[in-house]
Amino acid sequence: MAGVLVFGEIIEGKLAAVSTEALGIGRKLADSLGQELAAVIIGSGIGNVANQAISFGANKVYVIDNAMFANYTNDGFVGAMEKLNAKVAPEIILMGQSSVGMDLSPRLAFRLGTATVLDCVNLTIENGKLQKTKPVYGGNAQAVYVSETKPQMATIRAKAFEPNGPDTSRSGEIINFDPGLDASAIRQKVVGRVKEEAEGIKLEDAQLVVCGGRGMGSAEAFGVLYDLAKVLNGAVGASRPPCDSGWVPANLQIGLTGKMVGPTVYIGVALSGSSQHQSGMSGSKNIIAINKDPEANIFGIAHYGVVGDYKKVVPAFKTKCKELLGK
Amino acid sequence: MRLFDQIQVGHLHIIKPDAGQVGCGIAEILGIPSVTAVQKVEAIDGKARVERVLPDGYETIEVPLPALFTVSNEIGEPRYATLKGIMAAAKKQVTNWSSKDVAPAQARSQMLKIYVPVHEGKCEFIEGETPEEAGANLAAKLRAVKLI
Repeated sequence: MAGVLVFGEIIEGKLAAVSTEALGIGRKLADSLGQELAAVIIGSGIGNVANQAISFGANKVYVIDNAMFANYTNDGFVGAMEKLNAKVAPEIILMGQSSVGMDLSPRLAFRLGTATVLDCVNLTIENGKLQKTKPVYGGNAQAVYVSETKPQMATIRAKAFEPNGPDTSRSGEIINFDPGLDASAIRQKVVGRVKEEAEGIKLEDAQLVVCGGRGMGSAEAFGVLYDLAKVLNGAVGASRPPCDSGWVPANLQIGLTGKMVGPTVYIGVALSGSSQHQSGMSGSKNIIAINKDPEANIFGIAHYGVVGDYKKVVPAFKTKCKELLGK
Repeated sequence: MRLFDQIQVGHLHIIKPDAGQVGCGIAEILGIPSVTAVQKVEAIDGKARVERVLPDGYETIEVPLPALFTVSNEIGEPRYATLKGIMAAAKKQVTNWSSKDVAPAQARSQMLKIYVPVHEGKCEFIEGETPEEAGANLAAKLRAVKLI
């Protein structure tokens, strides 16, 4: 067994950001093992994604391209990965902790008689073995795991690792692979898909996130955060209570059971900064907190803070931002 | 005899240090199809039609039964136990199994250590005579360090 294999997830015809991050850490692990980094992409009409995987550091890309893989299905993708594993026999298989990765990785691990560790935030090689660190107890602690069985598998948390690229001068080998699956063996049939779009900039892609918490108090109160996000060209998010209370849509939730964000600037307003929320935003490069409680946990990880009532602080902050930015 | 039509397993693993893979693992051992993060289940012509939560919406999947679904919190509110139910529960026999009874296979992952990460508090507090002034000063500071 040799090499690191990264499952490259495809979103709207492109390699998913978390997969580029998996290739980034995969490259490091492969280098410390002195082995190759390979990627696999599975889908229908996906040939151009192979070059993206190479530009992010893959030496080899296995392409599994067939109409039966147009939609992600557990049976289809587990079956394809099982066949590819038999051919490639990788030492390590990595993928993103996404709705696909958290569905695919566990079942594949059981199929292959090995184990996976989900949602890893650190991966290192110690004595030739993969050590996998993941947050546990709601993000309050971290646990380190090692597996005796091969391949060693893990999913990685979004934004926890840096991509290595893209560098289009890189070259690599593209190999078409036919897993020889029968479409009738895929028991899940995807019959429809509904997109629930949030307005404005996508939360996960925003370079600046304005996030409101329980202290906002109402749906109307979020108006000032939307205005602020507009001025700063950012997106609005929320901790869990505003979502549970219906003040904002559930898909704005940042945290352990919501989205993972890692913007350049995160502004947390009237939220305490529970460990569950921190799980979703602690990768932010610069954290700014506005809260009337000087003991709020969020100040423990913030770089800049204002202690005060957001109803007074935020409008003045927004007005000054507008003035400074000439808007 | 069919022992089960569907098995539902909680999808979210919020507090416990569990692995988030019990559902998929059981389905693989039983050889039945699985769908994770399900927010709605309907039975249609001997099949199940389920909605699987995605980051930007959901997809509808049809799957033959028996099948295993892990469910997300959108699946519904927990029901309150009725007084009658609580009384009946008190009389029910509980079967206890020890690890010997279920004969677990050798664990394939070992936890080497668990620790609490240390955060260095280094928050710079921006002040002002009034909350409004503090807000304006924060904007000026963020501009000065080129964050906005």
